[in-house]
Amino acid sequence: MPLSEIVLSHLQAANSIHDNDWLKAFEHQCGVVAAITKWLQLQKDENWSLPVMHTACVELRLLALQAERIQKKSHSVSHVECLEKAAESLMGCFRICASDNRSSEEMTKRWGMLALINQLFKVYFRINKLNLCKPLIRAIEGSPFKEDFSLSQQVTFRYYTGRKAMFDSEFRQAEAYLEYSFQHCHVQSRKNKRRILIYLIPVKMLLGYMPKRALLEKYDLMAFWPAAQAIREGNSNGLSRAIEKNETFFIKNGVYIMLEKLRMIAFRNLFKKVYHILNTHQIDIQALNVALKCSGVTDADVDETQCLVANLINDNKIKGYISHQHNKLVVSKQNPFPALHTVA
Amino acid sequence: MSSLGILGNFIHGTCEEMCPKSELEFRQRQRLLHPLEMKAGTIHHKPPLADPLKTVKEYSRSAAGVKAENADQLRPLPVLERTTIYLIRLALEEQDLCGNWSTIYDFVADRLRAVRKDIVIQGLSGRDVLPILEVMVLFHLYAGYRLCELKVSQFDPKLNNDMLIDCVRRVLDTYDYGFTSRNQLLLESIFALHDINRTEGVVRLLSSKARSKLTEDAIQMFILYSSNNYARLFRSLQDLPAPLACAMAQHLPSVRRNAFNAMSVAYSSKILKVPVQWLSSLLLLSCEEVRAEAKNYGVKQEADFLQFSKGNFNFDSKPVPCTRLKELEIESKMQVFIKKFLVQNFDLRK
Repeated sequence: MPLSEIVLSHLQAANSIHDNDWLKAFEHQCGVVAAITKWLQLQKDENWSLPVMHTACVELRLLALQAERIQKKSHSVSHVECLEKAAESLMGCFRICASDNRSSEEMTKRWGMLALINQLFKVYFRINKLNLCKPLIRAIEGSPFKEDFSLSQQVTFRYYTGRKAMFDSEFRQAEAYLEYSFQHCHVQSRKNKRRILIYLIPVKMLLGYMPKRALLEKYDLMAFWPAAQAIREGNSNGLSRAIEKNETFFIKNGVYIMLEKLRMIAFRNLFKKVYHILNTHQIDIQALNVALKCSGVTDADVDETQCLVANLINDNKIKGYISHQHNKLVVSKQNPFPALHTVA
Repeated sequence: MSSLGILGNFIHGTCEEMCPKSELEFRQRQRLLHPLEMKAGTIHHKPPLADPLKTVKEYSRSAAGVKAENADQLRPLPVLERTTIYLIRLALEEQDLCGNWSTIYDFVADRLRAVRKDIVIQGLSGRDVLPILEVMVLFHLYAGYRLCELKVSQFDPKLNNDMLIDCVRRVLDTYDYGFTSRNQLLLESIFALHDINRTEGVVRLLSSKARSKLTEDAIQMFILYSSNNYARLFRSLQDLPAPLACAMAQHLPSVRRNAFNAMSVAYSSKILKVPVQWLSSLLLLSCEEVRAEAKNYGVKQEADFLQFSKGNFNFDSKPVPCTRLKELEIESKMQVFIKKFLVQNFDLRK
């Protein structure tokens, strides 16, 4: 009888937690989830047990995290990959829920899918297996009631799909997901809003929207301020210093590479300045090279300057072409540096 | 005890030779010896004789129906270490024994795979096996570079890559379980560049507290690659330590493809031209190779110049296969590097 199994494993898990034996507790919790999976399978045309499943799955993930932490600390020779195991158990539940397509809309266990996917996302992001997210995203996108899941679950889902899109350099999509997540996140969960912003801000910057100081102050994200300033000014050296200053924060949150990508925006702003100073449509690459050197790329040569300009032209961030023979950048008479949010 | 079984119930090998006696006799009888394993001068004998100092246990797939290996067919850690050193040295020194190096490669790669299998069956793990696995990574990296110009029938880069990833994964897992190695930053940097299209490796580098010139180089390379800064990337390649250059070499075709793509837009003109000579130094290619690439990507050519045009770039084109960068002498630098690695990580008197 699965129900007695659930209760038994739960008590054993609780007992192990009391004894501070996290690995044991995790194993018993795996038992709880396995029993729940069996139990769900036996239930036809009913889904009242989904909250039970959800709670057990959240606890499973938290115990896996704790057990991993303890193992890492102890340097033990044997090593149980708890997060991977947790993901497997969660997938077991997920399969039951996703395949329940015979029940009526109110009674189907498919309502449990999104909560499970969000748990799986948390695990996959932690163990750096983002490629495993793809089929899960597809499962939701293809679901007829994808708009009808609870708002909180949708906010979480969009937060992770937004981050995934950012890693895949699909910035428009990332912006849309993260923006949804930010707008619909509960007003009072400032911590979550802040988390969303950590990704939304650099994505927005790449699309040409620089953050206001007030926003950064409000959410305690001033770490982004010096970087945003440097990018605005086209100051590459300043950007390097800004990244270095808050390196730990950026790395911990996985936006370090994103900030490096923003360097191209800084170059675009720098070249735009040169264009305004020289006030000509035929800009000497040499002049851009001097500007690059002054802005901090001290060992930039003419080839690299051409290379950076070539990439900016290819990305539509500069309208014009390079004449290699004359070593000149010839920019369009109309709108040679189009606003970034119109091109990205 | 130097070997650490994960669960304690693993079999301990007792074979003191590189190749178990039964296998040696069997293969000698069945004429299954590799030329590199034969006693000098017996190649025309019927059958050729095995040289016990050169014969090494073959890799065989574990499959249903195949009997589990006995202790006398498994080599304990010191023997595995000795075997690995022998094989790596063979790969570095035997230049022309069989005419071409890919024969040596096939032999060494297969026998190293058997070493890994013995490691797994005996449950050997932890710090003791690290140098063995680390040097295997260097070997596959070196081979992948050295043989990159061969046809797939002579050298399968995919298979070599799979073996490299297998080794490097084991190494990284071992680090993650808390076993440190003086080569950790080297291996982490290699992984970051080898697997440059996924960010996992570079994220590992960034989040580790330890930094060195190597890791900085690798991070820098990653940034140049992902921002398509081909000019600086090729320039920096010349100063890159040999293992990192090897890891980068396989990605250069796609760097060049992206360069041609960007240039097709940025240098697009009906009148203006770009000299082949300049591209040759920019992209580290011979003038001939520049022309071949241009043709592949649909760029027009005229005497010693290329003429870029926005619409002409062929988006269906695949990158031009990898070639070696002769003037950088990566191969010989890598040989020196691996030899030094052996000296620093193994007791070679054994």
